[in-house]
Amino acid sequence: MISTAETYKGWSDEALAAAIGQGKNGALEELYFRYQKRVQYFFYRMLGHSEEKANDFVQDLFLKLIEKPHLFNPEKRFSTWFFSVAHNMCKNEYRRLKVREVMDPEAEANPSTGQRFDPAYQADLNAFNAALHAALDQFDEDRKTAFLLRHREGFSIREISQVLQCSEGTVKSKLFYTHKKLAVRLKDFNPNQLTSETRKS
Amino acid sequence: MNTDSSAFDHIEHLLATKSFGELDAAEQKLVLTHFDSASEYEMMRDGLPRFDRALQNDALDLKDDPGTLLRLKNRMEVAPKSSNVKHGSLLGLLWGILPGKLAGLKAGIMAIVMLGMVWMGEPGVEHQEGVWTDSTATLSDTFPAPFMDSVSVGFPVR
Repeated sequence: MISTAETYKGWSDEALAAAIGQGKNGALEELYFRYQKRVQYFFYRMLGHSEEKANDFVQDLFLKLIEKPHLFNPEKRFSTWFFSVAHNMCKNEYRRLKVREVMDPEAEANPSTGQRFDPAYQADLNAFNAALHAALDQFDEDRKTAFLLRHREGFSIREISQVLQCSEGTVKSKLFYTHKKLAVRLKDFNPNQLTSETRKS
Repeated sequence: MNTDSSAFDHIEHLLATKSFGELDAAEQKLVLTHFDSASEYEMMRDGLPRFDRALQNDALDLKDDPGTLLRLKNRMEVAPKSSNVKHGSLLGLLWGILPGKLAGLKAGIMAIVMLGMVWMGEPGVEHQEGVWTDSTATLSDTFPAPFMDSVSVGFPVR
């Protein structure tokens, strides 16, 4: 039977994932339409801001859904599960890169790490964004994932704890200290905080 | 720092509602166990909504690889359907709920199934030599008689 994405417009993500398991092409197209940009953004921000790598990871992520649809439990929320898989892929990639660094110290460094922003940047949104992501790249993958899911995807603490497979308290703690460090690192973007007191710290 | 989850909730609430100057003495004390100074608290107050704004408006111009969806659809054509998996799961479930008292029966069934798999040949695997390629060979040709006696009933023969 030919099914188009149009057929599945009103379906929930969970129902679409189940339909993909039954080989419905249209369900895949609809779910791809809903999630492609979101996971592409996630991979791009998590994996050294490489568009090519982000696209490869997007394809691999959807492949996992196609080839192992039974791994998704339809009683759970699809987005949480999907980002869990994406997060695990990033963790594996970090691990692989670390191994590569140990094996080959001359290996190409992550272009986004160690990046510094010029304090003379205008405090507009784009500059802030660039500085924020440069600062965010200094954190480990769990903290980055928690931050992106919270502020980009609007996930609840509970959902993030499911993605990271840790307690809600741990997520709150990770987020709190990430926020705190970011606020300090990005203080130059806060015109009200350029006081001698903050300079001291 | 070892902090319970409710303290983070409380601080998050304070950050969203009060400047440092508006906090009472107990709240200031709590806040200063988590921040080095009042200005750090204020920085966080300023930062939190900015993080939301920044990421929500992060309009990256990322290009989708147009071939990806087509490749995925093609892969889907050849991917196994989940109904097969469900059968497997159901068999597993049925197997699992057989009571422990029937362990001997389970072992017998398992032996017969395994023997059957060996006899039929594993799907997709071509046996290159010996009796396995001989479609006319019988079970008794393949195995010596004592072994056959034991597996035919599923239990060892005393």
